[in-house]
Amino acid sequence: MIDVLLFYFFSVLVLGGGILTITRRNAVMSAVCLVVSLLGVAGIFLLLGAEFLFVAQLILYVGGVVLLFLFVIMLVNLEAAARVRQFRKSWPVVMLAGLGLAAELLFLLCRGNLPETAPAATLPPNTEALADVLFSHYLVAFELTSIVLLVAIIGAVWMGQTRKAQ
Amino acid sequence: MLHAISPIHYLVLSALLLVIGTVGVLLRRNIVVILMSIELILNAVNINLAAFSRMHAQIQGQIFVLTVMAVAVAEAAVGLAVLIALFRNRGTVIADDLDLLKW
Amino acid sequence: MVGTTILPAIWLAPGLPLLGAALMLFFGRAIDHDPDQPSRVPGIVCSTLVALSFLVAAICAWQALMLPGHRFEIRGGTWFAGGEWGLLLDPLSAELMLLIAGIGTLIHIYSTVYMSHDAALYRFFGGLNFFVAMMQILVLANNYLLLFAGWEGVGFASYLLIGFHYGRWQAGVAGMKAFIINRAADAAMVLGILFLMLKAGTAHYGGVASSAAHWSDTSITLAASFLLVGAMGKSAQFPLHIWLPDAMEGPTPVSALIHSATMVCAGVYLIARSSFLFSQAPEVSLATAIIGTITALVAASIALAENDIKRVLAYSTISQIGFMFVALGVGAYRAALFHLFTHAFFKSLLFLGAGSLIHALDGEQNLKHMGGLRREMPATFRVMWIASMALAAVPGFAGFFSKDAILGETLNAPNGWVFLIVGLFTSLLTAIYAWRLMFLAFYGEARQSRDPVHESPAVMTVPMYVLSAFCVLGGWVLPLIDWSAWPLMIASGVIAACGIWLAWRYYLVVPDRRAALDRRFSPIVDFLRNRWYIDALYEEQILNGTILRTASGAARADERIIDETVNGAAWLARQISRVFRWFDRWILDGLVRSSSGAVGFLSAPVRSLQTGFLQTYAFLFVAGLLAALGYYLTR
Repeated sequence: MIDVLLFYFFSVLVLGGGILTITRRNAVMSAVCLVVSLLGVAGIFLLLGAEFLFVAQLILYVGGVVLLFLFVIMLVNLEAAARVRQFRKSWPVVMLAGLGLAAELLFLLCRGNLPETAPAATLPPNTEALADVLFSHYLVAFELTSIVLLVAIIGAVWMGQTRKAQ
Repeated sequence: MLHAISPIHYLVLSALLLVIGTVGVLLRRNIVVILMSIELILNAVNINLAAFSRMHAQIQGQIFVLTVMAVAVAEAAVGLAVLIALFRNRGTVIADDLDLLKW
Repeated sequence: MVGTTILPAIWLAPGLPLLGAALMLFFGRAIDHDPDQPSRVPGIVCSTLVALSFLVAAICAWQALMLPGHRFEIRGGTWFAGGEWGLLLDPLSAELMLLIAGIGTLIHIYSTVYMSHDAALYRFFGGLNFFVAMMQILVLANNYLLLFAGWEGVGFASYLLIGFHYGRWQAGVAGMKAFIINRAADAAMVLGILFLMLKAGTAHYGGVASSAAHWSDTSITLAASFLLVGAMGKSAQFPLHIWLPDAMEGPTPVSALIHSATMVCAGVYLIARSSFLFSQAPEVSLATAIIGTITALVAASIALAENDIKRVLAYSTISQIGFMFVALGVGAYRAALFHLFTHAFFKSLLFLGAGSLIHALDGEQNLKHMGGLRREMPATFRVMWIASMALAAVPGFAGFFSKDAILGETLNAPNGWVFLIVGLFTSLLTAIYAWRLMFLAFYGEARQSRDPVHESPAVMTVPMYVLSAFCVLGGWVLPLIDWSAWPLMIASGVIAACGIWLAWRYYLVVPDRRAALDRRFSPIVDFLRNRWYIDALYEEQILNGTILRTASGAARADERIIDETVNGAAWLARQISRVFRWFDRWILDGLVRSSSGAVGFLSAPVRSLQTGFLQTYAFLFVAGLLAALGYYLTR
């Protein structure tokens, strides 16, 4: 019972935070709402029995990515951007497309033959199991990911640095 | 609905978050918020993957989530660096002002 | 062929500097685009390439001398009738190749600092590399045509580098003067080469030599005279010497490399290479010796009165090459090349030392304004001291043995005692002007107030030290020294000592009485200061007289005949082009315009999708997703 309540609580956080993120005029407020939404996702991970993902979500997203966003918001002068119109003129079409997409996805899920209840079988202790698989079968993928990150860091530094005017 | 949480619940949640993110990308003119919306989309995918991982009692799904997270971090870093360079050169973060791709 | 040999790679000796020149031509501006911050890259790249070229040259020369016959030849493909792409490495070309690459390397290194304040160094080093490449082609060619290609190449490099500071009027004019006088001489040389090819059917040295053995005396005399005129132009021999002093407008390293050590010796090389002709043409040989004697004497006397340090050295170069021509004229080709070898070292060293002085004094070149630099620039003083000893032919130094070899050989020629006497007198003048330069620049007190001067950095002094070692040791080529001519050696040693003593008396001990002496001998002094009025003669008589009259006549002919023809042709062309214009405008343009219009019309619907807005594209993507999902669901 408590699971059900928690699921709905977190769902509200996720969806409400998401909607607020894309509707706030002020980018700082957007970032704060994004934090709420991402915290909700972290909670969902916990409900799904993925403790490691929960921790990673907190550290990486809430701690890292959103912080990055806040830094950039500080660096970039957003006052001008906050004064202008926030939504594109074609917003009715976009809303229509969004509603259509939602309807189609929900219809797809309803038609799909998914089990009503979660399987009783419990996963082994999450972090250890994840580590076992990650560092054996998926070692190459793991290393490649690290390369992707390295390239991204170098690229970001190179693009972000101040260069002498040509 | 209140008696049990089935995978379908998670999938519906994921779908709705995906739609919110997509609408955000299409709707907003501020590139910072567009990047945030992309993060929402990626999180929707993560919820989906984690739910299927639970459903099939297979840990591999969570590996995917971790990889997606790493890529998302990389994407955010590069995207924001591009944004800074863009702002430095063009003085704007409004997507509509950037139309150099036009034929 | 024995063992491993890199001889087939001898083409790298000119090839590497040519690569450097090409790099500077194509990428120089990209490397060195900021005039306020000259890049060091051109200097480093070009120096490295020349050093590598020297390495190749050294190994090849060593391996070629190991071969039986001491020669190695690459017969290349035919260039055009009678000419070919071929390289020849024998002791003669090996000597010059090593000299060019070796001194070239040292001067490249020296220049990286000397020129470091100048903008657009890629032009400088590119030109210098081009020069080295062309000079290597000149000496390595196995036929007259390829030699002539190198010959013109070095002339062009010389023109480029004399005019390096093209912003200065004199530099540009000096470059043109050098080019034009060389062109006049080269015209004779082209005639000579064409004559050789006509008679022998080939330009290959060996072919011409074997053919020339059967020629009549007249043919040989004619061919040799033409070549002699070409050599006189390049080697700045009287009366075509006037371009060389003006060429000193170029940067000092250029003077050191091109206008003293290597290029101006190309004439000596040409005559030595054509010795099979000159040894059969006694009249031309005699003319060579006479021209050399006159040049040596005239130039040495002018050097006595010059005040510009670089011009003193330029006249000294002319004078020393005169000695080499004397040797060539009396058939002492080995002695000529021996002197070429030693002269290259001490003269380039003198120029580098002068450059070091000029560099330290912020461009001051007047000897009268120097003085007392011995204490402030000890390294430069030491190397200049050695070089001046060599130039004055003091026994033991390089210049002594080679000049003595020449003077000793003169007696073998008919009436050789004339050359010997004049040569000894010129030696006296040489010692005087060499040490006049030293006493005025380094000894005594500073004759003009100046900022404190500093010795040049090691990058400049080390190449000078290397050269000074050669100035001492370069003369001890024992097989070339004839010890039996010891009375002559003693005589020339005494003459050198006398010259130095006179210079010391006149310029250092009794400077007060110098003015009085100058006044008493004012006609002679004026005569020397005006350079025997040779330049003035050229200007008055030839430029303003003959050439002007010829030119005005030609101009009238030009107006009456050629211009009318050209105008008629232009009228005809206009009428024809009218027809073409109509065709062009209505048929060709119509085709082009209609095709582009059709593309524009057909692409209009697609083009409207390309708004350039990021989010429009994203929306199209989502719409596609919607459609795909919808299709999947309703299937």
